[in-house]
Amino acid sequence: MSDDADLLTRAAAGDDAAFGALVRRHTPRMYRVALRITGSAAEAEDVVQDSWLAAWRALASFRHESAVSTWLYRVVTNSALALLRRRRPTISLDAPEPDGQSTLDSALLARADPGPEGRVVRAEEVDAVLRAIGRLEVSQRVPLVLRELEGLSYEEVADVLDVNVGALRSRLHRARVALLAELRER
Amino acid sequence: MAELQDPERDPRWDAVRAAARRRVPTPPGLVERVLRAVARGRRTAVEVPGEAGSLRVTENVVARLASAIAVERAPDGVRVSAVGVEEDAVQVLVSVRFGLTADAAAEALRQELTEELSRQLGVATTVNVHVIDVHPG
Repeated sequence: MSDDADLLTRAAAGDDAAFGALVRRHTPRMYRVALRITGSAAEAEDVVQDSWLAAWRALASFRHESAVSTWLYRVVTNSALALLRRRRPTISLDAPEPDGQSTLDSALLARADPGPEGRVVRAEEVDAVLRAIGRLEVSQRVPLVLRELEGLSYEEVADVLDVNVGALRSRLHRARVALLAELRER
Repeated sequence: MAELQDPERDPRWDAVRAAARRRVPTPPGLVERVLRAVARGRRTAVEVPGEAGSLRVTENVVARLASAIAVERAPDGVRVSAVGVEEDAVQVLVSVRFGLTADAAAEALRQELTEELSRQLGVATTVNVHVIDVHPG
């Protein structure tokens, strides 16, 4: 299987199959990020389509200074933020999943590795977390999604958001505190 | 207060970790829709030659422009359902109010859209309007 950098180089040279392979490989995670940021399945689809159009236009200017996946995280994050700016200042994530259905398989989750304290987290608690993240300010929500839900390193999140790592760490700390405060209130 | 200093040690943080493990299914057909959207974005629908070069407008842009004009100029009783570019022409799918003369309504929209699109793009544009549904008044 070709690596991302190779696929991107070929796509930039006009290889449609290579571009298609990139789209197939990265669309699921881009959709996931878009959904977590916008809270709307329909808008997440639009964000993903806009992101790939933007990515396609920028293929030739990609300098390979960061991983392709990090670059695509940046593209989708920027598209999602642009949509939020166009939409309205406050966003609700009350229905974060398509058709209002939870994508959590409770049985699977119950069998998943428990956390450090050995607790089994119930699906409702996960729903509450996702709703609480949706209520955070965008400036806190986005880094939290990238770091805590997507598992990016501090350096990668800082790269995606074009901020320095120190500033990111303090913003994330505030976001985590705010998230816990939201969870406590519900 | 310790949990405020290190939120990740708060017992509630287990639920955040679990949220990270939650699977988010990709909507069926999304990859194909993305590839079609990118292909539309790449295809040149209109090319206007000029002395200092040519102006190229992609299908995606033509479709968005046509959609905005169609919605704005649709006669009373005509609802625009979809707009796309296919077979070198703008295709507009509409629903007309029950009781309206469908062909007259469609023709009025077609003429309006053709004229405005041609004016804005600077080239003659073919527009087809298809009545695909009837809605109650």
